[in-house]
Amino acid sequence: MTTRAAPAPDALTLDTLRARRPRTLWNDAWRQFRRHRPAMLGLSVFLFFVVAVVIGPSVWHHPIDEINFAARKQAPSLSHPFGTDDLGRDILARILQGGRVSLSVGVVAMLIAVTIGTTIGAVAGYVGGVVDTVLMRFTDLLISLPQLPLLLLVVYLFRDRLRQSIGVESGTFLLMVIVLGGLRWMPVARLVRAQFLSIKEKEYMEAARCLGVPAWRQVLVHMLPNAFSQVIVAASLAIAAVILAESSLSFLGLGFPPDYPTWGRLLLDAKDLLQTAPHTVIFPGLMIFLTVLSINFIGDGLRDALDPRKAR
Amino acid sequence: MSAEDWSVEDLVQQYKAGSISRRDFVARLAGAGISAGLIFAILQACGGGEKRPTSQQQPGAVVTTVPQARSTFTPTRRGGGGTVRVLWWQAPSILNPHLSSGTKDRDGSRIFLEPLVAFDAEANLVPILAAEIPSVEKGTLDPGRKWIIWKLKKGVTWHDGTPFTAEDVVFTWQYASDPETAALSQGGYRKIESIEKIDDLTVKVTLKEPTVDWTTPWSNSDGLILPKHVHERYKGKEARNAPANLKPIGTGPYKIVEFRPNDIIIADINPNYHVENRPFFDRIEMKGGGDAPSAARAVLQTGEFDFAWNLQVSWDELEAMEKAGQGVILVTQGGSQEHIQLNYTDPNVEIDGERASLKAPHPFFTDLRVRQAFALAMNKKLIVDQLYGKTGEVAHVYYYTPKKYVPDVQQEYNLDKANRLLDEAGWRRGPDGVRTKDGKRMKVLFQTSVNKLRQDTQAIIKQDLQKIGVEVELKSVIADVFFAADPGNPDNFPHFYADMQMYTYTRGGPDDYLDIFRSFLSTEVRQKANNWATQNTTRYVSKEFDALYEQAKRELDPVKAAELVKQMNKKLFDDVAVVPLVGRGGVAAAKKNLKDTNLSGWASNLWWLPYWHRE
Amino acid sequence: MTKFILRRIVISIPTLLGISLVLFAIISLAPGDPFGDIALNPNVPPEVQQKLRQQLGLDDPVYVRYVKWLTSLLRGDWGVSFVNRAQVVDLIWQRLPTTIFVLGTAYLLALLIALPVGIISAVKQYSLWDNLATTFAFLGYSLPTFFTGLLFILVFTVKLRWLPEVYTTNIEASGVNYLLEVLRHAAMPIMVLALFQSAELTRYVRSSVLDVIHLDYVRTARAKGLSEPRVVLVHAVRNALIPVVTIMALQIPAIFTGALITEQIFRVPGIGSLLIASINAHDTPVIMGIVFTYAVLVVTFNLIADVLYGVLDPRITYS
Repeated sequence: MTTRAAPAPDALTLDTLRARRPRTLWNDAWRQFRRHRPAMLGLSVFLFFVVAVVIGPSVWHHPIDEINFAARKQAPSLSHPFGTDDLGRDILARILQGGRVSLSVGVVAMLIAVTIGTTIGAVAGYVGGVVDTVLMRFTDLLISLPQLPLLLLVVYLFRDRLRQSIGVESGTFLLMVIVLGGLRWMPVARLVRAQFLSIKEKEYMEAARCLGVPAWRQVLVHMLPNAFSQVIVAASLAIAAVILAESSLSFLGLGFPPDYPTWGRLLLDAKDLLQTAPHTVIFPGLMIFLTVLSINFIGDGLRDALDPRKAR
Repeated sequence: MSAEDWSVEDLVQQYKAGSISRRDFVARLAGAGISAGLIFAILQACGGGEKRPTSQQQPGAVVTTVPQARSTFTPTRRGGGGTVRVLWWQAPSILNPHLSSGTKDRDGSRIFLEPLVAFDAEANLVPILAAEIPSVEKGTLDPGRKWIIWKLKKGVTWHDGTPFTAEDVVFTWQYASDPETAALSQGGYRKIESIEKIDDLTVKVTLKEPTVDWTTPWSNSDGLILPKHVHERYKGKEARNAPANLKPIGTGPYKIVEFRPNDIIIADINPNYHVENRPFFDRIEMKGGGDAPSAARAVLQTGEFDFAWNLQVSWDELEAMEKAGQGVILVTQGGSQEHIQLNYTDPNVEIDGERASLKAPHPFFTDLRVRQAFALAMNKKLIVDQLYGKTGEVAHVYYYTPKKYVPDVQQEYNLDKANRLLDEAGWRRGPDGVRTKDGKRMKVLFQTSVNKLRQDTQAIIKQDLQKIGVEVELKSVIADVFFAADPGNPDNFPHFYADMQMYTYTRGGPDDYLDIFRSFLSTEVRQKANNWATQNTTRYVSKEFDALYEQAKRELDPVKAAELVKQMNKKLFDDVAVVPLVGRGGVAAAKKNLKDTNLSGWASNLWWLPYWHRE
Repeated sequence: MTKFILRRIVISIPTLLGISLVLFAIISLAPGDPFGDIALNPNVPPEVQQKLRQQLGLDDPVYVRYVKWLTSLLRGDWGVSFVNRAQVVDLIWQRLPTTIFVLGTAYLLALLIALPVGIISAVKQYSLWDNLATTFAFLGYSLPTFFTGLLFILVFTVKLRWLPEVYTTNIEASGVNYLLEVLRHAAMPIMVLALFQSAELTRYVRSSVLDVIHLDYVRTARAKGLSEPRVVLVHAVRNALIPVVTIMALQIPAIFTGALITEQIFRVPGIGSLLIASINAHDTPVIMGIVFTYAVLVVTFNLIADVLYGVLDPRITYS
């Protein structure tokens, strides 16, 4: 045995091996993600937006509803970086406030969609047989429903009742996330089911079954994590889709009360001002666009990073 | 704009003496909230009612219409003008005015169907299918106003060649009054006891009670005459199945070519139209759909269309578009008023399955001081100046035009006063600035329909109300739901399940104060028991007002009637039964070379269609 | 194969039934009444409104109304509009050609853009062209259609005055002029839709071709000395297009509903704007007619997608 002197860093000894950080799959994925430039750009932009809407309204001094006719429809300036709308309200403040809603609706709805979709897909994929067929028929049924008209109808129906019971803002928020999330889980379910079906046949699952691993453990510990990479990609795209859908709803006049400045609502208000104040249209539209764009880039990067076929 | 201290009699004296022009006279009366029909009646009483539409424009004290150039166009033949394209951004979906209450459908029908008479912008009665205007001198109008004899124009034919006769007039009345038809125009015919045909071109209309307002329904879209031989087969229950509802047969200047509901109406010239050498255009296309701003753009900027209707767009946007120089904005005052209702009942308490019930009085709107405070917090001038521009005028009383009906009162805007009143009324500010009393917060739900102008108005009012310590929640309901009236729909304005609401009431004609003031009668309070189908939405109850109304109902002397109307207006003002906001004019846009549209606030935008022409 | 198709058709029937049931239930629960106008009129006694509702069977329980609607549908009677008693079929037929024209042209345009861009992008992966194309694709489908629509109006109608904002189906011209006018009117809605769709398609085409281009048989084809275009187009793309075609088929129903907003903005008198108008008017028969049409489209295109997949890919056999 040699003396216990510190070995050279690249010498392949047990110590150096232990000293190196373990290479997990997640680390690998993160490294791959980092190399995807648009994705990193998207991530930074998105994080910036999130931080901005979280602390912005407390930091930015203009209130969202201060009507000031002397300052109507002003183009962007130092005191109003995004200009003012036709009642003299500061657009930047309204965008920051509205961003809170738009982003949180996106995230929460996505979580709902992913939860429901994963559960249904997992059950269908794992149990198989009749349960699978029934669940998949049900999924197909829901996919075949025309989404936008359905959204219109449901919002019509339930907005008032929810408003009665838990207040207008929470009520509308709840309605939006349930409806938007509830119509987006189907692709996730399909993905998860497909993954489960293929994983089920793999040898390591056969091994687990032989070992007597209980079903729930099989699903949660062995199958789900492997399906997860697909789910993450789908989830990130779902946020983008939900944000777009929420702004479409607001643009059609449904959704939050008229003085609540969600981004879609801001576009709706600005629609009449194309003539005299195009900046009122451009800024909210740009916010929606940039948010969705950055999420799409992130999704692309995730897909790249989590794709098992890609060489590391 | 405050009315000077004059009475109707003074004005009449001045007019008779010639110290004010007819135009001024009419303008003053109109500005005071008196309907055109009544003005007309007064003019008749002064001597001189029937007139061809004139167009001398003097800068009057109250400019309520944009001057239209006097027509020098005398065509020598019919047609030859090509196609005229008009844009109604709310698209017609049915072409029978008796089966719809929507202006869009009635305007669409107006291309094909015609009334007996119509009011022009200056409250002159103009005969259309009538041969002449009934008058006492000619023996065709009862001095006691209980019967009218209408002489019909000779030589008028329906689009299919059948002659137009008195039978069609009688039929139209039967059709509209038949409860099985469930016609939306029924209200206009309620006052009629009977109509008899005297000969092929004469009818005698007998009223149930004498009334000053004898011109309706014959002067508005309730009175568009239907062809008996076409609709007879589809009487009563079958009315809605008539193919003529989609392919109308009328006496109008154009015949239907194609109707795609909610999309477009195409109509060709009627070669047998009953006015010589008219109409000018060979074809009319009425396109529908979209929204007001794009409609305005389509006429004022891109010139894609010749005419667009009902441009509910904020004024500075319209002005900016007008600068492009392609078209002009036309404003007509017809007596519509955007107003705010304060609920006398509590919308949050449910009794026997009903909210906003008389059994549950409102926690604070039943206190006059609170209502006065709210009225003091409405900055009408700002709203009109900034949002409505020239299309609106500040309104202080409910029935605000013609001017002879308006008492000399003015609602001021004073937040300090409002604050003091609320303090006096016992509503103290809590730590968060919102007033409370006996544990109740002063919180209001303020609802209206989805409409940019309305949302902007709501925002302004909310800000001011917050300054006097009121918590405001805004709600906007899609127009079709807000104005739909089925008993099961809690979101509509008849239910009034809110503390404040805002919308525009429109006038049925220039002379309808009895109809309009019904909205404040105690017998008309909307409740579940009557399916919310009556007229009193605010749930205002006042014996004095009821008494004044009864008096006005019996008063046949137009001058005395005008005085009573003034008193009713004043009573509502003193009680703050309602908060009038803006007297809204109709806004339309026409291409510069489109002439003689002769828009009238008391008739459809298309009432002068046969005389439209292009330079 | 025929057995497969038949089996799928049989299975889709309960799907269609299920869809129609869900939709009917939701619509019936919606507040609002097609005869709201009448209730507002104090001169109409409530009994009359009752009678009207009875006439149309509005007061029957939901399942009764559903069965009635379904049985008449099977007989070919799609019902009449509550608003103006026009035949629902007529109303839809009046508008379907316009929607198909606008959507169809947009989609063709999208294809014409997406195919070459996507293929070249995949072949020259990571080149400048690829980066540009991918960026374009991302930009394209991150822009909400109502935003692009408004921007286009701002640029082409308000500022430049080149294109009309209001879509008119009634154009008085003939020959070449007619065609030009039609194109002028349809240009903006088509561009808005095409932008969005071509962006999505480009990505799919690109990733499909990428999947295939590295496979062994492509390398073999090159090794055989075939020209590059032949290798790419005949060997690679043909196979790459299989998943693309199926995705296209699946997307078509989504495009129909996505065109709703575009029809609203540009006032295109298509099915989408009719749907919104009838929802606002609580015109149940028309709503059901349109929505059911959508559902049929979806199910049909799903079926076509599956069949195409089986036909194009000889490795897939359906028992």
